[in-house]
Amino acid sequence: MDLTILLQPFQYEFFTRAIIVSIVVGGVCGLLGVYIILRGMSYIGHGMAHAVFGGAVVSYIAGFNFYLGATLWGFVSAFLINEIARRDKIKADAAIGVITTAGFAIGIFLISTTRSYTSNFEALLFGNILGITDQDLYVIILVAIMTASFIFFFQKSLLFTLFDKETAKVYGVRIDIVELLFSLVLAIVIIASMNSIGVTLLAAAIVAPAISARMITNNFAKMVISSTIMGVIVSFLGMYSSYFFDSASGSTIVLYGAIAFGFSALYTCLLKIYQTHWHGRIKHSHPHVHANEHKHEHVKKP
Amino acid sequence: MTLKRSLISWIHRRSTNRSKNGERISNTDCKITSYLSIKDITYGYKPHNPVIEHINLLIPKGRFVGLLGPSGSGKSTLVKLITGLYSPWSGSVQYVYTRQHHDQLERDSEKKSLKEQNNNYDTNSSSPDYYYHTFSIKRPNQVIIGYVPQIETVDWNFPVTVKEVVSMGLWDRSGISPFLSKNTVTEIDRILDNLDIHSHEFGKRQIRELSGGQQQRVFLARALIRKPSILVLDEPTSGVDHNTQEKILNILTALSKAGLTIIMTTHDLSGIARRLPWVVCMNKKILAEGSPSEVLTKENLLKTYGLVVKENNDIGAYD
Repeated sequence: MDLTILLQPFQYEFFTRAIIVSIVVGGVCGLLGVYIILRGMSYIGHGMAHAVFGGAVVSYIAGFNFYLGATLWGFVSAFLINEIARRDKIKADAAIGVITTAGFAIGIFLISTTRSYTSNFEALLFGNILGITDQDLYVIILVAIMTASFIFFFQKSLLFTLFDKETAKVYGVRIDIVELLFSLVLAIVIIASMNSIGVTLLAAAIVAPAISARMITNNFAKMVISSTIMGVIVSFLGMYSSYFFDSASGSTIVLYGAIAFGFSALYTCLLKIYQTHWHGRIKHSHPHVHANEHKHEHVKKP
Repeated sequence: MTLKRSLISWIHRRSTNRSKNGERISNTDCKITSYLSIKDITYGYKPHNPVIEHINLLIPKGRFVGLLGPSGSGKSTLVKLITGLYSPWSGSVQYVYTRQHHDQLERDSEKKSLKEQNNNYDTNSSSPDYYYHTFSIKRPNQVIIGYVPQIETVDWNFPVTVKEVVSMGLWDRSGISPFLSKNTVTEIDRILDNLDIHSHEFGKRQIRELSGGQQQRVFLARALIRKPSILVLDEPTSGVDHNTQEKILNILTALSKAGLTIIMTTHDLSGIARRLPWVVCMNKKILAEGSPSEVLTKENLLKTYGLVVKENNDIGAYD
């Protein structure tokens, strides 16, 4: 097989740019995904992306800068979701359901009344590598640096808030500020990722690496690292192969994410079968060493 | 008992008092008394429907208090008010520190300077001689509180290891980086070893992989690593077996003897309540307070639970 075919996509400047953007987006989404699934708000990525779409359409029609309008819109949505979820009466998923679809509906309403813009927004909905500009590249790199610094400096309070909100509050963690900042960072990441992955598919890019990582490890630090790496690999493979399949970049990335999840689930399942053993009539599954054919020694550390 | 001894020595080591000049002073130079003062607090979750009403309590330093009451009696609510999670509708929760000094030199120099300022100042009028008190009143969020939540509220599927849980107790003291420093790790290992959880064996395990008693001690370690002046536990003995209850109670008794104020809630009347040095019966209001032998009478239990504990420790309806 001729290797030049494999390197063919990199001849195009737009593709190299798209690859860099998708790798950064994948890593950032994978990193944030861990905190999202552990917060029990897996749907927030999906919801926020839809809400921000409304902002994007409004800013486009009104003639604002896309990032400015969408960011402002995203902040308002994030703030509203956070505030409603904090009240005990309504759960976070319901708050996400109302606010984000309302945002999306505004976008669709405006598009349907001004039909001439339709083709531009298709890229936002499903992702388009041709739509990635130099500006997007700089924005996503800036966003990645900001997200990584936020996670680095707020890691302790974020983990404490996720695990045990009540005790965190007693020990002086400003959980309201931490949660609001997290929502704002998420809004920014979603806006920056919209062009490459697309509104409708972004949720999977956020959730898939994180749940795959969750399946293979019980350690928080390992989960964060493996989810980020998985996000990078999945995005790279998705974007790279979308060139050969001539497919929408977002959908290809998400399908690779689903495959990664499938492999993680299979690995966990096989590991469980391998570790299953009997003690008399009791069946259980945990790591052990086979001492000889009919006996085994338990490992102290599972 | 090594566990008990190591805990006591650890508690003693943590007390460092400093004078106004920043010099280290020992507890013999001044007498510190502190107490938790709960004054006439009322709180509820719905307007006009208080869960607790006009609660008054004074808990001196080092007291081991058990809050007794049936479900819905407001025990957990009171605990949350003590920790500052909620603010009372009326009344106050205050931590009062009084320090009685009898540092003669310091007092003499003060008198001298006052004399110079005002010749009419009568030194003999200030009594008692060589003693003076300083007060400081703090709100719950200004003191270090160790809090152990109800074990049932913990998400056991959460991917955190034992060490990660204990390190949460030092979230604001272990630097800005997410990585634990060598000193922090040593501190975590030490506190876990003190509580009989061998760090090298259990430290990297997910919390779900531990037994009920070990899990409870991990959360206790997270509270103690903050070096709290007061330890608050919500139902630490529920959902664990008898041996584990004994172990937890022994640890708490040792900590209390070392001078740590402990407040715990329990609904276990027959076993735990009778072994605590001080119990408070409550059901919306404080009904009785004192040593178990004085408080756990038929009359008080009837008022608190509508039940009495029979001679053989079975709980039966009162008739």
